[in-house]
Amino acid sequence: MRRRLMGLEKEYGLYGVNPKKMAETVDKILSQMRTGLEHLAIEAVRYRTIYWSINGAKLYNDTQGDHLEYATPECESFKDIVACDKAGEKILIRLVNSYNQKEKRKILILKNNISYYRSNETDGIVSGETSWGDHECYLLEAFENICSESRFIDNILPHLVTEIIYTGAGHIESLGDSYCYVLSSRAGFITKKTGESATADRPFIMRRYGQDTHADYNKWLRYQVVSNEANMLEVPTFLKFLTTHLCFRLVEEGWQLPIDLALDAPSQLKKLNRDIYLEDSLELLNGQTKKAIDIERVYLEAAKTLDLTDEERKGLELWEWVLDLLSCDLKLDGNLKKLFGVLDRTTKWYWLKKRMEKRNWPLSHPEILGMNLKYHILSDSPKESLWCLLNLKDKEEPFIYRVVSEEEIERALTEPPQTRAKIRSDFIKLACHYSPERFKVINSDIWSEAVLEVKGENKQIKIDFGNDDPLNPSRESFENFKRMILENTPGH
Amino acid sequence: MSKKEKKMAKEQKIIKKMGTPEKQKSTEPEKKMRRIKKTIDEKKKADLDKLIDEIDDVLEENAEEFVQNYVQRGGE
Repeated sequence: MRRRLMGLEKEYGLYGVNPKKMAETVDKILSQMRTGLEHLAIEAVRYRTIYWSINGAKLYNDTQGDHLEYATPECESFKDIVACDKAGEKILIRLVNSYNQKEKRKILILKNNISYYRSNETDGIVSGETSWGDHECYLLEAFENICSESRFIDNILPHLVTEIIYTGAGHIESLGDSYCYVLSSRAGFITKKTGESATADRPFIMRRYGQDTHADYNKWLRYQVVSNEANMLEVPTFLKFLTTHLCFRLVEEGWQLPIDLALDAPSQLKKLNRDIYLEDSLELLNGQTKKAIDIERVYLEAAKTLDLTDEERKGLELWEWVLDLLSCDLKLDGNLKKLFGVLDRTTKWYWLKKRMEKRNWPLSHPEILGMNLKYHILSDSPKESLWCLLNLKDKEEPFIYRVVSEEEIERALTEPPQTRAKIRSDFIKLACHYSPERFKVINSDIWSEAVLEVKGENKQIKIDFGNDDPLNPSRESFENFKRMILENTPGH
Repeated sequence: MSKKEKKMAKEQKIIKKMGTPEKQKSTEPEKKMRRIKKTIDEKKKADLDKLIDEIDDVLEENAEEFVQNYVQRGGE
């Protein structure tokens, strides 16, 4: 068994905002958290343009100021990741609804990774597709005593290519004068194995070093898998973390990928992306070919030999079940239907296919292209959002496969997972009451600590959220600080 | 039926009644997973095509404008 901290960073798209005013609008939407919006059940501590929510999550304007971003608190459980991700959707819907009401705007929020058109006002490019991130974060113990980093990553890469068969959210890709339905909107943007940036020339894995590790970087590594895209359904989110975690575990525990499975990851990802019925095989470096599902099964069978936790074992069964469903002939509606409400890319495709058949529309029809985006709208209005409509229908007659309950999502709005995020959450709750009157947060842009200045005392205090031992963090610095604040507060 | 055949038939009957060795090994989570799958399969029997038609009638048709106006910069 191996514990691991994981989290999901998601940039959201906003509809109804001039791209030139995006940064300003995002700031205004987020600034509603500044005062603690009791009526929205959201409280947060602000540091510059970062808002740390009481559930331990982080909301901010991303580095270029072009996207509203929500990062879940650190989780050890895959169910927690799903619950925290869904709680993030709820927080953002509440913030945007409140902003629209106040400013009489009609901004919509989209949980996707692509727009068809780039602004010609900002960079001179008239049209095309542009992408933004959905980053899975994994904390790994330094593994130099197991194998080299390049070997470690080579062992994982075939999985990162083939997992899009269940993690893909589906997309209608522009081919210039025509369109085709693909597994993932993100795959076309991945050009290399690893890298240290993802704004251009995007890799499968982004390596974070130094302070960006958010833990003692002599002992820990932080990897971000940036080749997947945002999911609306819970199963793909659950599976992308579970399967990649298990693949990391395999390599950490000495397993080696059979040498004949090595492939050129970027080119094979693009090839697989257009094979929505999974009929073709991938080309391996040894000249042989193998189906994506069969590569997934190599990892699955190897993972069965690990000493698994209950959650890992149940997740592995879900993984196998999904692969079994994907092994059927997906050209047959009966088989495709079984994955409706399970995977985004099959749910969206069945929906679009039926709509095209009914109206006799081609894939390039504007309504079909629009529906491809409307699937991702987070809104309470069924007229605007296909996702909202599907959920309303699911309440009448369930067909969506859930991983977490509505109660678990509600709880994740205010309660953190039982990881080091709990210390941060307790600190934020304290700060919501006593800052800025009693102390000021003077540095809080990383996940592992916060630096404060206590009013009237000329000294700085550092609260550690688990920099040295992120899996077993000490509460000492927080408890000492809490005692000091409460002892000096009349009435305590 | 010979004595040997009778014995084999009896054994087969017992195996059938008890389930295969694999089935006997089923753990509680596996049983639960099968129950979940069964429930999901039954849900699939809900008329999805009817559901899609109903949804189709509610959604606004303004997609061309929507696609044109959804302009985002790249990010990460």
